[in-house]
Amino acid sequence: MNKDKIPKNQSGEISRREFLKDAGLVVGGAAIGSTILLAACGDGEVTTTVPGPTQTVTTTAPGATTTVTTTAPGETSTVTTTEQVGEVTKTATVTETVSTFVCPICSQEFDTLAALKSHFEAEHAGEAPAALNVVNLTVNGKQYELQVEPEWTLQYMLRDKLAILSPKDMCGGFGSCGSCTVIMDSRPILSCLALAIECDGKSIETVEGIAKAGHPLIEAYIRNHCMQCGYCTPGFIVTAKALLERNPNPTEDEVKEAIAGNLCRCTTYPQHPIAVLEVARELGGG
Amino acid sequence: MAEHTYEDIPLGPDERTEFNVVGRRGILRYDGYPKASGEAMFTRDVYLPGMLYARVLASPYPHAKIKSIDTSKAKAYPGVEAVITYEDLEVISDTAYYEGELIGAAVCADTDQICVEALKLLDVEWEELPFVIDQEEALKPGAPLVRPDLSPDNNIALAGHFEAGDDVEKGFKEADLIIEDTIKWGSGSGGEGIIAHGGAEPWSCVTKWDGDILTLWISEQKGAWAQPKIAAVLGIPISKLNMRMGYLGYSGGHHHSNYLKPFYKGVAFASRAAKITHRPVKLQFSRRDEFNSIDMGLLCHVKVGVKNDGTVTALQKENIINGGSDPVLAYNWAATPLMSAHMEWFSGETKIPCILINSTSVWTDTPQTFAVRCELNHAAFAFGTVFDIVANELGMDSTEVALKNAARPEPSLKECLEDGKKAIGWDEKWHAPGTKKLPNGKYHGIGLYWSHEWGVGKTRTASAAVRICVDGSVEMVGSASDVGVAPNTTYAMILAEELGVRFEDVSFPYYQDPYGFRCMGPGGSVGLGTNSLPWEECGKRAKEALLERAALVLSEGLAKEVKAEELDIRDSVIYIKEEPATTLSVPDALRGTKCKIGKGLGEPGAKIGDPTDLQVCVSAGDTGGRTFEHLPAYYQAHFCEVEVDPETGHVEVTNIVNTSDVGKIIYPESCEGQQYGGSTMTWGRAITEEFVYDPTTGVQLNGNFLDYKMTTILDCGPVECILKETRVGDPEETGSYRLIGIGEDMATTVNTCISNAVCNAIGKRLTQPITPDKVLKALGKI
Repeated sequence: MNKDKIPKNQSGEISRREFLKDAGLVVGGAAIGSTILLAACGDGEVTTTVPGPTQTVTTTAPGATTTVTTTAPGETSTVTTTEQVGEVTKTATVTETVSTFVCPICSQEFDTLAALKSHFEAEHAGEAPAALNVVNLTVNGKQYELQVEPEWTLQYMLRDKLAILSPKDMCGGFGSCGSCTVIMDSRPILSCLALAIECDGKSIETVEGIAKAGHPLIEAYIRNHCMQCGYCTPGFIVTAKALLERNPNPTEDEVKEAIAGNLCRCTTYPQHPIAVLEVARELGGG
Repeated sequence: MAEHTYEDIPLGPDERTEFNVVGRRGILRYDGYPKASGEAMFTRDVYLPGMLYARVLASPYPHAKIKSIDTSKAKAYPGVEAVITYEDLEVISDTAYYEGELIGAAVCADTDQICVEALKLLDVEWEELPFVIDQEEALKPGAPLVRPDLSPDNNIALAGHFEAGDDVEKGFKEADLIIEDTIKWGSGSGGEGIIAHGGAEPWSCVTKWDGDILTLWISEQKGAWAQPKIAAVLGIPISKLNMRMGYLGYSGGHHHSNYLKPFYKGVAFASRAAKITHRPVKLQFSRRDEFNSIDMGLLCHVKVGVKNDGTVTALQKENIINGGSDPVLAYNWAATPLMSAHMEWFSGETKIPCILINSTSVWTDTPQTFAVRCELNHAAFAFGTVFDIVANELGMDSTEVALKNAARPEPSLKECLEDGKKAIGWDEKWHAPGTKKLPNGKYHGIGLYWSHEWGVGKTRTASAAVRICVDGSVEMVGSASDVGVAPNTTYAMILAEELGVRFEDVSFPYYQDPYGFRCMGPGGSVGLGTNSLPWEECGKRAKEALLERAALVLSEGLAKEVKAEELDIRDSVIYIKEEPATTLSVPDALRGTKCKIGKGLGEPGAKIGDPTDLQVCVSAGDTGGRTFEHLPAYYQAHFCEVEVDPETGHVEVTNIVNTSDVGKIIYPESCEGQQYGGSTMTWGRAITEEFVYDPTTGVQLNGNFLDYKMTTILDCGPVECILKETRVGDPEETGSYRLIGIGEDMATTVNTCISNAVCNAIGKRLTQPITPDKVLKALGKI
């Protein structure tokens, strides 16, 4: 990939080497991050290396906009542009939600695919292709570019591919325990119910990031014994942090309501409002 | 009848009265930062390079035998590395005794998802067999036989007859009133009231072979017991099984590989798969797989003779206990000690002069019954209910009935009752059942539960070691799992206290190599009661050895003879008792003088000043290895208030007060955690938690966290925690700290307190869980 020509907001500020260093050297050794490594890591997922020109259909949450992006054709293309266009057009027709066509290189927007194509050929001909199913996202302030499979959940990607282990698996992916909660663009979400492929352009925060930033919730949770076995604790802290960002001065009932979706089988519940309200006061909200 | 009585045993000459570390508030738990920051690695979080995944087949039928398995399609599925069936592995069964039982086959593949898919491709030919879920149905003539291999004639696993004191008929004759009633706990049809652990971390293990040594990361509560069992199952020497346990999600008695088949068989599958593939293998249970063990159900017909003053003269009980489907548990746990538990409680804890108890343990096609925090739920429920029934029938205050009948009411029970009554306002609030409606239109109820505290060092099988490093830091060596009771911090407080070092100088790392020493699992009834003993002893011996070395160093430095007996250590500073200004640091003491490693101190020709670690170990034998039959002298009394809405049937628990006499508090915040934690958790048992079975298929319908309803933060009212330290326990049983456990008690007992309060509110006794439909039926609304 011709990194130099790609704006920062697309490539991130880290080199692929740095990225692999960050993402690949995980406990599990299931190295991640690049098409090559994904194919070689032997975890059985079918990965596609796409050397040629591609148009990537990125579908965001239901009801939201479907964005079709076209990337530059490469020299070793084995897929013809016609087929690609046909495929994309079909997708767009089915979903009927396409409103804009965004150039992945310079982010310029177009009303039609044809306009985007013309723009692309005129401005970016010969630039490096991108792979299919690539998401660019920020996790705990660090930017990542990942090729993901469509069925991967965000929890799976964080745990198994980025070795960010705090989104715990308690209920088994049913979305009923809150242990895998992460913050996505300021909202607490269940990472077991979010698809990794939906996370392009998103900013994710887990408890690792909250701890690294020295957020007072960490100390308050320890001081007040808000954990016993500790399995659900990251999910609670993440949820509490999102609450305090949204509402710096919550009442006890608001704290309870915010974390009511988090299950703690040791039942440390009485301690959580104490800790969260302490932090609210400490941060000047209360 | 109570044969032994406890008197206030004065503290012995060696027993501490002043504490430097123990009992101190504000000590930060070791596991706090790792758990809050996401650093703590649970077994689920272990990823090894090249690791494969495995999953086990679950039976879709409550009772069925596998006639054949065609594995070809599964084996051909991309990413599948191995398929192992009962034909390959002797320990694996081909017969399921409950729906969801993990039997027959396992697949091993590149990813967990491929395992899930490949399991569906196993072509299994099942022979469905007749089943029975309900324990009363199971006892009827002609009922399907659950375990014809073990009980060919009927579904009775075991029957026991227990008598204590005089003939019950004589006791009934002396009574002013005979009360008969039925008590049900987790024994209703269709799964009513059957509770499960609902542990936080679904069970996992990771197996990796190094030649003939197996390294096993495992979600295991009690490694000291599990290691011999797993080694036997795998057919390898114990010394070649390297078990790694550490952080463990709430397990509540569940993750016991020594007893529970799914776990040790899971290890068998995973280790075989690792052997075949020459790769590390992680075997994970799904949430549904976790519903593989339940609490024992009790159906109990009780006949009580009482005098008008509340004194019980005779008790007769006919118990039917659901023993589940597993022989090991039914014989070892559900049947013998647990059937006798009813007798143990009533005879050991009360003055009732005539007791007769018949218990029958029944096979059913339900999961293995086991300790669901804890194995005494049914005994505690029966105990707490009987005295409440007596109080209601006589129109008496139940705290008075408690004091009338307790074997050793003073000082422990009396103090607990007094403090608890005061905290909840019992004297102002108590009323006859069904007589108080609040201005908001709801019925008000108030309830009591009382019994002994439990959790003494019954099984003294823990060993431990301590290493004082040359820099003065102190490492504790003893593999143990965590479970959540801050065990390592608590043990470190004891060690620091005994050794005379600062708490901050002690560390107790998780995931230690087990070839050192094994603690009891802290989650297993007797954690602190057992483990406090070796750590206390370790501390004492290490202090002795440290002062010996300090004496040599000081003698040389001061050019006069200094004896170890003249020294003491406090806050990690060694000093001469007579001249406290003369001090020596721990690292300086460890520099030694004329010592040679392995030769002992003072040997001629040794190099001067070579620093050496100091190591001390204590084996299980050093602390006794005894088993006690007595019930301890410590009591607990719990109170709660409820409001029952007669229109919706909703029960709100508005207030709980826990009063627990733990003998000696080591880590106050952790004790309180067990109080509010257990109380709030058991709200679920009282109000919402139960299995739901489809009666026609025997399939458990709610094996997930959406439909098996546990307490959330919005459900339970506040809990007030009161801890008592009477220290009247027998040191033979409770160690020199005279302490007793607290982890199990609240979860096991407060649900009975809630039941009693609901009965006080509406005047009707309901079976748990007390769901709105039951309340409305009792009130004649539906």
